[in-house]
Amino acid sequence: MPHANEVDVALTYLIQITAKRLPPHHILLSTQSLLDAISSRSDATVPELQNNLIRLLKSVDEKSLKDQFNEADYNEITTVAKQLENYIKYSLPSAAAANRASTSSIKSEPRSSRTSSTTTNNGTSKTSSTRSRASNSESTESSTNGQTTKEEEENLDNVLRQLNLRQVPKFQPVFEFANSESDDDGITTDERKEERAEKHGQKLCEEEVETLPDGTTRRIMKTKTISTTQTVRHVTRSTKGGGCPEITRKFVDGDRTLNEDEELKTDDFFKKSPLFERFNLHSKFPALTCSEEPIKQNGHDEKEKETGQSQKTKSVERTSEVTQSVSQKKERNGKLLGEMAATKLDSSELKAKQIDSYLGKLLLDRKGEGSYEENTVIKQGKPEIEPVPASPPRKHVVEYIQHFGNKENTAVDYLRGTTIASYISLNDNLRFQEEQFRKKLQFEFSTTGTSSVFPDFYNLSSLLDTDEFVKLTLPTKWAEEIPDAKPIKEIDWLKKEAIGEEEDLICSFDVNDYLLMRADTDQSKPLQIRGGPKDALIVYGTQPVASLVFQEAFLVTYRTFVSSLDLINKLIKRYLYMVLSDDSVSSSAAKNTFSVIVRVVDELTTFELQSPLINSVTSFVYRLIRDGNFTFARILRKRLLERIEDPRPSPLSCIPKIIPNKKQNLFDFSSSAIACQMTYLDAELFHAIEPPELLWWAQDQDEKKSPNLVKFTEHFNHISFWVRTLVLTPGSQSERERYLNKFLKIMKHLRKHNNFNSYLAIMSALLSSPVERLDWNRRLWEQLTEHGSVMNTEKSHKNYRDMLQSAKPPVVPFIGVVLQDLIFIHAGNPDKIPPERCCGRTTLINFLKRWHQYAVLDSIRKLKKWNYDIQKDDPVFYFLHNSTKNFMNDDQTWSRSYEIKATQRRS
Amino acid sequence: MREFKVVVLGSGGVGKSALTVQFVSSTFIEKYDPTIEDFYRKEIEVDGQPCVLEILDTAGTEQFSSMRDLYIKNGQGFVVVYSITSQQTFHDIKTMREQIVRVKGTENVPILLVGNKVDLAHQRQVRPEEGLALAEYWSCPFTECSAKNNHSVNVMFAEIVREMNYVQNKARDNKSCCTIL
Repeated sequence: MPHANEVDVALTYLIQITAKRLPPHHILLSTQSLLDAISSRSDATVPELQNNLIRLLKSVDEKSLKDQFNEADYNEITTVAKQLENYIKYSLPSAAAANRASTSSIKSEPRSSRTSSTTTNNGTSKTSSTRSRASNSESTESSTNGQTTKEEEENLDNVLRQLNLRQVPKFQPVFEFANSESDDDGITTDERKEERAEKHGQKLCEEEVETLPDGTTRRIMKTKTISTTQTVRHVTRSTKGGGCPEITRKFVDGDRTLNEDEELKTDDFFKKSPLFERFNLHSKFPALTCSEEPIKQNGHDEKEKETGQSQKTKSVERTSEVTQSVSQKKERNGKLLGEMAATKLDSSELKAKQIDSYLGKLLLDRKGEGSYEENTVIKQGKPEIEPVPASPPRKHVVEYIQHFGNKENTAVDYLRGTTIASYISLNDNLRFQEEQFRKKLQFEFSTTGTSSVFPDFYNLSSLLDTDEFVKLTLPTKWAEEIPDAKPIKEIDWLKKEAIGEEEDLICSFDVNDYLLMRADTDQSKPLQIRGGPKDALIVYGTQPVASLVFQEAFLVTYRTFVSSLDLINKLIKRYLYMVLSDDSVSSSAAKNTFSVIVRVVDELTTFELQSPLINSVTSFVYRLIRDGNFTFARILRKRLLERIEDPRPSPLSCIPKIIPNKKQNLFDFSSSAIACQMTYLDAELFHAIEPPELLWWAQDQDEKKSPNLVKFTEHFNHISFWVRTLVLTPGSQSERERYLNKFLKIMKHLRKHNNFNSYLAIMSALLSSPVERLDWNRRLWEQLTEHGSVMNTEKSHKNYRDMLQSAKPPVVPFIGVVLQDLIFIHAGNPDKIPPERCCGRTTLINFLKRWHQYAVLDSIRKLKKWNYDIQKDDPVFYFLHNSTKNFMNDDQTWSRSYEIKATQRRS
Repeated sequence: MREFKVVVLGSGGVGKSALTVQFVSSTFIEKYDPTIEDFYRKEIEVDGQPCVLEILDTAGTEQFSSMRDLYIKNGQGFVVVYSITSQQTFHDIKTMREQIVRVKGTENVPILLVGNKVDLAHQRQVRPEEGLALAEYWSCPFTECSAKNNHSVNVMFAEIVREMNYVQNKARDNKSCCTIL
C-alpha cells in the first residue's frame, strides 16, 4: 500500500536540493520521484492537487530546458514546491480522503458526449475495459474464482501473439550449378528433395495466491502441457526437358509451385498461421497431452470473500525446433552435373511470466517479464559430405574471400538476386550462415500496456523479393490531398480543447481502405504495404494488425516523410481523441497509440530534442496528470527525461590521468594491444551513431543533424593521415619499413576483430599514392596488395560486401558504403508513388522506398547490438588518443614523399 | 567489348548520385537497388562502338577524404561535377585535376567537367563562362546538364568515353614517337 509520507519525503528532498542549488538534472529527477509518489496516492485525482503538481512540473521543465538555472529560477521552483507542500499538508483532506477513496469512487474528469454514440457495440460489462487509474473503482465483474477475464489476459497474450509473428520462413536455398546454361539440346533432369520437420512444446502455468483478511492463504495451481512433434514433409520433384526456360523459372519461384502442390495444402506452417493459433487448435494434434490439476491448500474455500489481497502468476514456457533440409541434383543425359544440399535448424525458446496483484477484484498492479531466444544454424554442402566447418578458417584474408566468394564452391550466395541482397544476407548472416549465434530478445510490459519487443525479422527478404511489375491494389478511399507544407508548430496540449473530428484520418479506426497494397499475395500479410497517405501510414503503424515489421520500418523511416514533432503531435491528437470514449475499441486504440508515442520519444535524437518538441510532450504529460492518468504520465515523462539527460559519456571525454615519463612510440605497445584499443574506440563511436543520422545524411548532408556520424568519419580520416605521417616521417628506409610492417601486423589483428573501419583506414593510408609510390621491400609490398583487393570498388564493392557478410559479429563496418547505398536508394526511388500508378494522385508516400531504407538501417541496428569483449587499456588508449592528433595533411604527405623519392612525372 | 572505369567526383549535394541513377536506369523502375553487383554498369554505344561503363560514384563518401586516393586510382576517366547553384561546390573542385594528376602520375588524364542542375537556372551562382574557363585551363571538355530533366546525361557519359579514347590514342602516339627517336 502506498504511504502518504513518500510524497512528503520527495517534496522535502526537492526543496532541499533546490535550496542547495544543485544542477537542473537532479531537480528533474527528483520531480520524477515526486510524480511517482503522488501517483500512488489514492487521492491523486483531486483536481486541486493535480493543478499544483502540474504547476511545479511545468516550472521545473521549462527552466531545465535552459542550460543553467539562475537564482530566480531556483527561487521560483522553491515557491511552487512549497505551495504544493502546503496544499498537501493543510488543504488536502488527506487521511480521511485516502480512506474514503479506497471504497468510494472519486469522480474523474467528465467524459465528452462522444461516448454515447460509439459504445453501442459494447454489450457486456465484462468486456468494458478497466483502465488502471488509481481511483477508478468501477471494477470488472469477474465471474467465477480462478477464471481470468478477457482484460486480464490481454497483455501477456498480446506479447505472445506479437512474438508469434516471427515465423520460421520456408527455407528455400537457390543452388547454382556450374555451366548449367549450356546450349546443347540434351535432356536435363532436375531433382529436388525437401524435408521439413517440426517439434513444439508448451507449458502453461497459473498460480493464484490469496491472502484472506484472517491471515490465511489460499493457493490454486493449474498447469497445462502441450507437446507436438513431427509434421514431416517429404517432397521430391523432377523436371525433365531440354532446358526449357519456363520450367526452370517455375521451379525457382518456390512459393507458387509449392502452393500448387496438393500435398502441401495441409501444411500451413510454412506459410502463415502463427504458432500461437496452432497451439489453440488442440484437436488438430493427436499427440496432445493436457493435464489440469487444481491444488488447494488451507481450505477456507467457499467462505465469503472480503477485500483481501491476492496475487496471480501466469507463466509460459515454450520451445520449438524446426529442421528443414533441401537437396538438389541436376543431370544432363544421365550425367551428373551437380548435387547440392543445405540444412537449416531453427529453434526458439520462450519464457514469460506475468504477476497480477489484486485488492479484492481490483487489479492493482501487473508486471511481466520474459525472454525469447532464437537460434539458427545453417549448414551447406553436398549431400553425404560434412558441412562446411562452423567458423571459416582464418588462414589469410585473401583466401578467406576466395573461400566464400567463389561460385564454384558450394557458394553461400543463394540470397543473391533478392533486392538489397547484401543487406539481407548481412542481416541473415547475423543470425546464421555457417556459424551459430544466439539472440536474446527481452520484453517487458506493465499495467500500462506498453510492451516493447525488440524484433528481429526474417521476412524482409521475401518482402523485397519482388519483380518490378507486381500488381498493386489501389486504395478504395482517397484522403483529401492536402499540400505537404504547413508544419504543425508546438501545441500546448494542456490548453487545447477541441481534439479532432471523425472525418480526420488520424482519428479513424481503420485505414486499410486508404492504403496501397500488393495485390497478388495473401491479404492477411500486413507486409504488403506499398504506400498511402501520410496519416494513414501513421495510424496503421499504431495498429496491432500491422505486423511488427511494419511498425519497426515505420519507426525507423518515418523521418523521411514526417518530422518527429509533427508525428508526435498527430499521435497525441489520436490518443486524446480515442481516450474520450471508453468502449473497448477506442481504449485499445488509445493504448496502442500511446505505446507508439513512447517508442518515438525513446528514439528521439539530440538534434530533435528542442523546445517545440519537448514542450509538446511535456504539455501532454500535464494533460495526462489532469486527466488522472498518472501511470502514463510517469512513463512518458521518465522516457523523455532519459532522452534529455543521456548520460552516455564519450570515451574521449575523460582526460588522461597517466602522463608517461618518457615519450612513447608505437613500438612500445604490441600490435594486438593497439588493435584492441582502436577497436574499443571505433565501437564506441559506431554505437553512438543513431540510425536517423544516416537517413538524414543521405538526404541533405547536414553536419548539425548527424554529429555522431561526422565524428565517426572524421576519426577514420585522422587514423588514415596519422598512419601516413608515421610511415613517411622517418629518415631511413629501414625505419619506414619498420613502421609499415607494424601497421600490417595491426591490420591483421583488426581484421580478426572484424573492425573494418580502422582496417580500411590503415589500408587507405598504406595504399595512398604518397606512400605507395615509394620503393618498398617486396615481401611487405606483396602483403599489402593482398589486403588491397578488399577495397576494389568494382561490382558495387562486391569484395567488401562479401567479406562483411561472412564476418562474425561483433563488427564495425565501413560506414562509407552504407552511406553510399542510402544515398542511391534515396536518389533512385521516388518519394511519392508516381501518379500513373495510382490514378493521378500525387501525395501517396512510396513505402517501398522505406522498406529499402529499413533493410539497410536494420542491419546497422543489429550490428549495434553486439559488443566487443574488450576492456579499455588506459596506457595504450591514451597513447593512441594523443598520438593520432598529430598528422600531416594531404599536401604535406606529398611533399614528404617527393623528398624521399623525387618526382618522375610522365607527360 | 571495351570496358571503361569512370569515377564521378565532386562535393556532397551537387547531384552526382542523381546523374548516375539517371544514366544507369533510363526508364522508370519501381525498385532500385544499388547493392546488386552490376548496378553501376551500363553498356552504351559511342560513335558506333559499343562499350561498357563501370561507374564509381563517390556520392556519400565525400567526407572520407582519405579514401579519395583509392577511388582515383581505380578510375580511368573522371567526371568532375559541381552544381551551378553553388559557388562553393565550384570552388571545391578547382584543385581536383591537380589531385587526379598527382595520384595518376601523369598529365594525360581523361577528365570531363560538368555543371549540374541547369533546371534550377533561377538559382544560378556559377556562370557557364566560369565553367568553360576552368575547362580550358584543364584542357578538358565541359558541359552543363540536369539530372532532373535527363538533359544531356547520356551525351555526357558518351563524352567521357571519347575523351578516354582520345587520351589513350595520344599516349600511344607519344610512345611510338619515342621509339622512333
